[in-house]
Amino acid sequence: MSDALLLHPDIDFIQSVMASGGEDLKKCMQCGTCSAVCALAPEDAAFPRKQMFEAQWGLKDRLVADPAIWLCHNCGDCTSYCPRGARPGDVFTALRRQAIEHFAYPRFMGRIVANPKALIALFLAAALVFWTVALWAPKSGPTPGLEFANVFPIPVLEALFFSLSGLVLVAFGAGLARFAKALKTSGAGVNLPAGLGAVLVEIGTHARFSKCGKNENQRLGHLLAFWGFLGLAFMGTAVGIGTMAGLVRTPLALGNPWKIFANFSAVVALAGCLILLLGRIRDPEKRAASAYFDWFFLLTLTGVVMTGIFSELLRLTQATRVMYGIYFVHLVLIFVLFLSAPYSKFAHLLYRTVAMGVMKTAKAQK
Amino acid sequence: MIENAKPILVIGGGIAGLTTAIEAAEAGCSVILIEKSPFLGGRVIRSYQYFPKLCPPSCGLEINFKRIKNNSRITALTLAELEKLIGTPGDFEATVKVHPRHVKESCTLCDACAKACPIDRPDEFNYGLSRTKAAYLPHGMAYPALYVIDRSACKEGCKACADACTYGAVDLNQQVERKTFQVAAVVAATGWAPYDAAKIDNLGFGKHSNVVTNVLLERLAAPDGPTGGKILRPSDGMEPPSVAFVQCAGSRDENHLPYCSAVCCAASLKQATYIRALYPNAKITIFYIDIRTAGRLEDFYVRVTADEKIELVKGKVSKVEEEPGTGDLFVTAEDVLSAKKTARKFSLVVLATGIVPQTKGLPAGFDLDEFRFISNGSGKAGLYGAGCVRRPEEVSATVQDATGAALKALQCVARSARHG
Amino acid sequence: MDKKLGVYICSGCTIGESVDTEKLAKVAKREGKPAACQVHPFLCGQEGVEMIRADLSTGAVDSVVIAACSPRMKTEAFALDPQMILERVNLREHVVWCHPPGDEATQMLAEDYLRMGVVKALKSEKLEPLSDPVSKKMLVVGGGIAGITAALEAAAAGYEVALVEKQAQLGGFIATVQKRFPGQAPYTDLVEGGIAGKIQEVLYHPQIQVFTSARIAKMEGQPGMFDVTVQTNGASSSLRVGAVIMATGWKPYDAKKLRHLGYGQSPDVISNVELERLAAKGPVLRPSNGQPVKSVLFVQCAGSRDKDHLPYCSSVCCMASLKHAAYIRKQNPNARVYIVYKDMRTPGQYEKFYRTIQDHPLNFLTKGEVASVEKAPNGELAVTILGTPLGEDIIVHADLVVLATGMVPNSADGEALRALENAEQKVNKGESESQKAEAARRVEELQYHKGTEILNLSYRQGPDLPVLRYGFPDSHFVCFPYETRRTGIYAAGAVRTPMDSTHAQEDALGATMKAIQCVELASRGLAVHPRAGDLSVPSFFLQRCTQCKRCTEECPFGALDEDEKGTPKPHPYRCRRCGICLGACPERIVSFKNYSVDIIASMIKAIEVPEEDEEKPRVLVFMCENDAYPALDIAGRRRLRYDPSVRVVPLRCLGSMNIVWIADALSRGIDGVMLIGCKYGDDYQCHFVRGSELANRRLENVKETLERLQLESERLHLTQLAINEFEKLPALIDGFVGRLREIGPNPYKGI
Repeated sequence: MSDALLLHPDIDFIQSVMASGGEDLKKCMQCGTCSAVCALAPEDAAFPRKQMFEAQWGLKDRLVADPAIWLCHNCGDCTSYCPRGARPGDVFTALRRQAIEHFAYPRFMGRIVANPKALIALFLAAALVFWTVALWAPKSGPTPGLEFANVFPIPVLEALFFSLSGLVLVAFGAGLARFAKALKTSGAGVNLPAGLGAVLVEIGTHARFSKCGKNENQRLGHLLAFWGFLGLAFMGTAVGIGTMAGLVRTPLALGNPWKIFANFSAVVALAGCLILLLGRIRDPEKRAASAYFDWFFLLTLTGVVMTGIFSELLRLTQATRVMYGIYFVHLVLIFVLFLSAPYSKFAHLLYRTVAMGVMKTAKAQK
Repeated sequence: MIENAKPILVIGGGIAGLTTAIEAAEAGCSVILIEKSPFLGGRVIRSYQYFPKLCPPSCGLEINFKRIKNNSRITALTLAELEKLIGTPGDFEATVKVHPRHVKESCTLCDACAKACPIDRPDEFNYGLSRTKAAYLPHGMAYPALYVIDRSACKEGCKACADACTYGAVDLNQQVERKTFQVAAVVAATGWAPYDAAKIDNLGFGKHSNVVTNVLLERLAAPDGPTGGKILRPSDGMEPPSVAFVQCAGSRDENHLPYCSAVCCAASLKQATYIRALYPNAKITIFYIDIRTAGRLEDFYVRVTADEKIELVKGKVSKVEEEPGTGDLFVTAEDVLSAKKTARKFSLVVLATGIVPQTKGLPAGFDLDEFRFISNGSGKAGLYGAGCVRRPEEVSATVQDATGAALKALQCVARSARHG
Repeated sequence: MDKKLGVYICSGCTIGESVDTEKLAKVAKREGKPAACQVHPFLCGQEGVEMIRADLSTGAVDSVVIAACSPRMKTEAFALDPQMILERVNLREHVVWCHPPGDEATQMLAEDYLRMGVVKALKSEKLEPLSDPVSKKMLVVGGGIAGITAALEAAAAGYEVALVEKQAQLGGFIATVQKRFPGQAPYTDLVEGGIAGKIQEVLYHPQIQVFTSARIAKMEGQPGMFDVTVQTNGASSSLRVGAVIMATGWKPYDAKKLRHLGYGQSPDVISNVELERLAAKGPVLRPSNGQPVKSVLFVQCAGSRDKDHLPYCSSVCCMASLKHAAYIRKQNPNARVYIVYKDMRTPGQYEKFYRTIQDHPLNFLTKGEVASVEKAPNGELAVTILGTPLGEDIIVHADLVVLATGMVPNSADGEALRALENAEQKVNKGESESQKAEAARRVEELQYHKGTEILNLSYRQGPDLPVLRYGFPDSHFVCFPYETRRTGIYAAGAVRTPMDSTHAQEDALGATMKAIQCVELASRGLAVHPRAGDLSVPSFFLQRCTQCKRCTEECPFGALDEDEKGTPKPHPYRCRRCGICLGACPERIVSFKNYSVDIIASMIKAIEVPEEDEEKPRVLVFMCENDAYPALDIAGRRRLRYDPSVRVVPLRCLGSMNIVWIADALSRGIDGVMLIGCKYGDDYQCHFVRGSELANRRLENVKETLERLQLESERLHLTQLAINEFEKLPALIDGFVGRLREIGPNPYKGI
């Protein structure tokens, strides 16, 4: 029996999965209902039943390197049909969180984001940064009326955010590299370019989401949020580069097509976030009983877009200086969102893309 | 020892109730046996064969009915239910409500009333798969061997049956009767009902006509059943070339029945043999979580699964969908041992639905567990449960339990006889 | 004695329209010279029954023939005096409902049946119940949970009890366990063994006499009067009891036979029973080094569900291992507990206990087959598991491996012991050398039964209960789990079939009930199941007995012993009234007052056999009255048509068919004889175990004699029929009659 696999349950892993949303993990009796009922599970590599077994037995290395946990869109069919109340959907949420934390670079950031207390520190740090900017940053001569630039000089912000983005990209890169390495050792062929095109289309259209039996409007919410933020990200970067190159001067006039596009994206993103939030709150079965990890990401996201819209409206009315306060919060939230991106649920954007790529290549190889 | 002592009241005329009543009576007790339907034999008389011997239930029932006929100590009341129970162990007063049968003892089974009857109605004995007249004999071996008239189905003022009966056996004016009995002990043998498969929304019962339940299949297999013993697809009367059995349809499931119904595994193996006996080329697949054939039933499991046309797949079925046009069914399950998920096509699907205890309307004093089964021992003394109303179990275990309940009841009789 | 016969013919239910009842009355008058003979349009009605009662009360009539519907019908209406001779002639289901009305053949059929009924009534005699003094004391063999329960429950019902236990203390296995798994709500927590209290109750109960360190040296007699010799270290006491409850329990399957699972290879591989013993003493430690246990692996079905060991499932091991997991958990919250099962078998509410144990983060349960248990380099045990839900084979390390071994009944195979004894005798005084050699071989093969005796019955058919497969005693019947082939002796608990302590207690209740019922019926001189309440008993005209031993060998219930010459010694209280002895006897010396070779032979004589040229064949059909006869009734109720040339004679059991009857029938020119009885073989349905099988064997012998008489053996045919196969009957009957028509008439007609 040399080819047999030596199992030694990782007790800590089991307990942390159970502590981070998968507390019903052990109720699973391996009947296979979940895999059979899942609209997303492929026939030849069905999930989540097998992963439930691996999780029950604490096989961490296999799970974090298993693309399957990213293919799950947490539509909750498995959980509502599970005869034992083992809630595989929730277990998978917990497993994704474990994976993100596992691949996090630098590791301590993973732990901080994973830990509510440490997170407060993160917010304080961000607040401190912008407080400093507001107080000491050199202002270019006073402009008429109320302008954010009066308090938060544009060049400073530019510098700040571009460097931050840089760091974030590096962290993401390292994390993904670890993920890819794990995938290789686990035997999954990673050949992104091969599948990428198809994957991007799938993501763009949320085709997999639409297969979900339950949770219909979750798809809509996710789709809107996804595209809204893509729009905003694009605009942010474009305008940023533009201003630095001195091609654009902010704030843009309302009629400006770029501005219209930006505002439109913001509204779309907000709609998406609200739908998702409502879905989570309303859900009678609490099907996607979201862990703290989930809530944190969704709330920051919503916070960012709301404060953004708010501050813009206040600026347009030119009524009160409160707008500086709102804008301050807006900046803090964006900062935290960026900084935590590789370690928060935000990361699923990339991990899932890679995982889907892996599956596509796997299919291609067949 | 217990001559002319107080009788025992047995509620339910299924195999458990019959056994308790007969065993107690043959030991010298008097017994009042009440059954709510118009005949004795309960669920088992609806079955085609027993596992593991594949013998007909009517064989044992014939003997039991003979034992009742030869035993003056048993008073069997059909169409009767317990309305009220007061008093203390050894000294209960039971009020029994007897619904009118509208046919008297003098009925000779000549069938004239049924021939004359203008109404037909669904036959509950066949779970509505066939129809009877409103004046009917519940089934071929019905005991008591008397016709019944279902007044609820009758046309206003119709008395065709009464006119047709040359023995004056039909009495359409019969009224509800109330009888009171002084009894020493009460045994509830109210049995079970199949779980309502329509509640399992993903398995298609009630949506797709070729999805049937295990109890329905018993009637389809029975020579005195609606199809004369041919197992045919409800949709088109085709002999099914492939049949899927879905185990734990509702059982071992927190969304339905959290407990295991204990008999369904052996029952499905048995029903697989029905189909194999009828159709030598039929292929059968049984989808299961665990095969539970305890004790010596293991032999049966080994024997049945030796048939290469009977396949077992470990994996619970999650979906049954109908193929438009053909009436065939796609059964989706994951083969847990190979981690392959498949949607396979079958021409008939049998849901192994579970056992639901019939404890509604029992008098206070019976202690029920969280699943509404009777727990003996923790309830009031002098009140005992017997058979499937206590736990899901197969026939011989039920008979064993019912015989034990007879002893507990006999002890009450003996005690009350000694003390006054 | 001279009977005053009353013949009452019903013309209701279309009988009157189909056959000429007045003609029937004439036939009855000619054959029976009845004191009264009436035709009535509604005999089962009040007026009809009153008419019969009147004749009885005036004493004008003392024996009754009722020619109406099937004897299975209207039993309440015709329930007259149970001791009186009452013969029912089935004119409805067997004549008018299944044959064309106003037809000559139908009329002849009715007349034959009436003649047969009348002659049976004339030949039968009044029955009196047995009336010997009967002991109602119970003997309980085995002082485990089942035996103790049986003793207490019997006493609670007011019966004297003697309890015999081979060990020095009462309590059996349950007395040795730390806890029991929950048999009652809420099904989540382990419960106390709770047997200590019961033991005290038994020991101090005024109605219970306890023998410990005891064995049964001898048991003879019959229900109501068993004489038992009990030996307790040296001393021997004798008791008289009425019935016996055998609750001798189980023993664990010998783990030494499980070397492939590491038993005997490492001290850290133990059986579940050994774990139970360790747990009772305190925390479970590793046998090899006395260290606390950090990880345990349970191997389910160790030697059960295994054709090389115990082919059956031992039922309790799944729940037991879950319980043991709870033991380990209690002593070490951080221990890893693995359970490897084929199928997790926790039926009914037990499922909840399974869930409770499974929920713990450090309990690891999986389906799988344990392929090997070997020493791992780190000193732990490496267990290789195949076929897991992971889709691959796995190895798990544990520092203790527990084999969930199964249950073996503590029974003795009475029939095998008897066979051994026979063989041993043959070895010494066999006729030929070859026979002696054969006997020696038989002794060799049965040797392992030697000394296993438990009940030590002085029965001709062996000292203990007959066993089914795997050594479990009766019952074979689904509907009658306490059916036994040794009247008055009932098995209870794990000896009967593998079961846990909760079920064993319940089983003890049932067996006790049957024992009580047995002594109560015996005290009224009545038969027990399946002919419960029957008053008739066989009598043996021993002057004509040739000591052929057929009756003593064939009685399925061991009711007949033998003296040294081989003459049968009947024990009426053991007798189940099936009449198999009657069928077995070539000398026709066995008779019941209402059922005998002569009575049935006379019924056959009463059949009018038309001359050859009339081309009216006559076919005699012997039918089992328990299944085939009711099936023919149902066929009648469904108005199925079949050939009217058959004449049905119901038998108590096909096994009571005496071949003389066949000879009589054929010599009278009856064209063929058909026997319809219950299914035999492994899944036999015969209520008397071997009846139809024995009938078939006898039939084979007759067929040989037929050939010698130049009679075609096709004239005899035996069919097995279940009660629900009524729709097959017409084809069966017509088919047989058709074949006889081809063969041609019986040459003995009219000779």
